Amino acid sequence: MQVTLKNITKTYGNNVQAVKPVNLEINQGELIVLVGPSGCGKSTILRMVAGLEDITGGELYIGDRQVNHVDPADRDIAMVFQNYALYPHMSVAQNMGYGLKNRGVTKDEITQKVRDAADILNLSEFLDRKPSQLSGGQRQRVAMGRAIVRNPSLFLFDEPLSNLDAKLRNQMRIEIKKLQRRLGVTSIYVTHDQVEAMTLADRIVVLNGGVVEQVGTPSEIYNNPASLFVASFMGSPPMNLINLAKPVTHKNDKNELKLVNKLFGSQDHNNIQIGIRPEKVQYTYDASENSLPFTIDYTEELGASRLMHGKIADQSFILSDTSETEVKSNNIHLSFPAEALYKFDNETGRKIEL
Amino acid sequence: MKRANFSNPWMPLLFLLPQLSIIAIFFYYPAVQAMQSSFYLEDPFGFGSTFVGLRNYVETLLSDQYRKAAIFTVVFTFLVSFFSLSISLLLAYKADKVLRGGSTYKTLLMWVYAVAPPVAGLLGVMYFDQSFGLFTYFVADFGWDFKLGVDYYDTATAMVVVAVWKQVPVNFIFFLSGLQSIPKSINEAALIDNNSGFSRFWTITFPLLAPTAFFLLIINITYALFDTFGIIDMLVKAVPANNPMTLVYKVYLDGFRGNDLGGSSAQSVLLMILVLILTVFQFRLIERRIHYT
Ligand SMILES: Nc1ncnc2c1ncn2[C@@H]1O[C@H](COP(=O)(O)OP(=O)(O)OP(=O)(O)O)[C@@H](O)[C@H]1O
Ligand SMILES: [Mg+2]
Repeated sequence: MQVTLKNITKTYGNNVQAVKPVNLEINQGELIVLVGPSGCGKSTILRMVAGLEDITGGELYIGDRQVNHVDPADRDIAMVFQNYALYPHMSVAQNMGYGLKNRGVTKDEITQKVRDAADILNLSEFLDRKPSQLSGGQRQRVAMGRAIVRNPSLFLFDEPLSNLDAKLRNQMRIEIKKLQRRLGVTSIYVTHDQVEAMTLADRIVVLNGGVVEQVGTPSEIYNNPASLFVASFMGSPPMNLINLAKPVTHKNDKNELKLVNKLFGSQDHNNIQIGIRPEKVQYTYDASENSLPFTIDYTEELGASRLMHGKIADQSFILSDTSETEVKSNNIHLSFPAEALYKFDNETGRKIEL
Repeated sequence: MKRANFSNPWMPLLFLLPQLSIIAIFFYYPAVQAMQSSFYLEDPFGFGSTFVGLRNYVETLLSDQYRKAAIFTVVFTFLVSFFSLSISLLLAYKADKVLRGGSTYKTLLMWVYAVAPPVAGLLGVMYFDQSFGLFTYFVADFGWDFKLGVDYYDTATAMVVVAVWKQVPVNFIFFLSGLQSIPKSINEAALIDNNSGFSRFWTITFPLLAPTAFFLLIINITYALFDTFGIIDMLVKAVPANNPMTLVYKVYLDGFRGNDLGGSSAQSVLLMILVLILTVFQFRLIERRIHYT
């Protein structure tokens, strides 16, 4: 089912505008991930779509139907909550069947559907247990099961994996993605974890302070960030940013800044930041015409890769490299491929096309 | 939990002593006395007593008045518990939706709880009195000649109303805190699963409130049986006449007004047995069906 948000806004009682006008078109079967720092309004948007929060302004369509004032139960949606929100007094089977029962599905059919869903999620042996008798991961599955038995036209997830440990989280992430593909149900997924966003999403919506910073596929977001915020938020380690307008006092730093400026040929406009992803930086041991001297302060071994931390013009800078080659000296020279560079306007925070 | 170690073995006993002596003085001693005097026939003028065996019990159980009071007690307890629980649950459910956290209302409502039973009874008299009661005036316009202390049913109505009024705030507070301890997301999940508020209440909210409700049920039955004494006394003005009364009030009336200590002791022993049975029954039968989170 297609979902459309037209100028959706939310103002809470205390006059906090948590969501500034948001426009979004979600295609049938698409998995959209809303990502952003804490308090940016992700949950608020999701809860407005679910009908748990009133929509202050704008229009919300699920399919062709405007649902601003439709009850949550009548929106044909299912939601998975961060703390799972299972009914503690019901068994696993009753938890999963509750939504069906209230929609007048016959007993036999409910049993059948619950059994099918339990099969998919490996929950068959737990159907008679109470939620309190399950592990965190199993509860998470029950919450998923409760969502899929109803076969809704829209799934909503609010940080469903954040209560799990790292390993289980990775595993469940893959399962969710597979399940979503298999069922082909349109989904909105909220997370503040950018790795989760990158791996799950068909398209990512990056939010900041109630405003949509950028909408795009994971690779668009990563390779073509539209703003300083997106550039610094998405990617781990984050993109290196050098603020050319930063006042420096130390003579050495001044020289370095001049050098950077020259290298990037940005004399025309000084109020900018230069960006480059850590893995795009190249290094040599000898100076060349377009290189910048760099001292490695410390090194982080990550197994497959290695991060080298240092400073350029008193601003922290990271480069990453495969861990196969050994770095022989702490004093190296960096060069920056022109096609890997980004420029951002300091004032607007937007990207400047090169 | 931290384990305390006492070097002196008498130490724990010393700490328990206040509690134990209160129980001994105010419960065991009078209970034993009541049991004892229930087998004697006391001379009305206090000149002596004769052992009569089970006669007091037999007479009590065969007495028409006792049967009447017993029936009234059952009905009264049922009505008071039922109405004070359901009214307070309804109020708490409605309040929960608007006042998550707001405590002013809670305090205002709680005040009623601080009213002592005789005072509550007195307030009841103000409302229901035959010559100056507000309620009496009001219903007179509808042709209801309300006669407190004269008409059996009118008096019973007043008793139930005052007893309920006094108990509602207590129940309300408990229900409200029970409701507020249900996680918000569970209510939201239910909102998505079920579009009928009525059905949501009975399938989600109520079962989750059951431990609170069970606890309150016991509290309310105990209250209706024993703590309404002051209210009843005020409303019937210690004039039994044709008025309804509970078993507890009858113990007092027969013992201290009728000077029939033996009979009244037999009644209180019967009450003790009743309470014992009730408690066992409640815990055995009801508690098993309740989900505790
Ligand atoms: N009920 C409420 N009343 C008033 N303000 C609220 C309410 N709920 C949320 N807010 C505010 O709205 C903003 C967005 O909240 P929201 O819960 O959508 O954030 P979020 O992006 O989901 O953050 P997190 O990652 O921490 O869950 C926050 O600034 C928050 O303080
Ligand atoms: Mg949130």
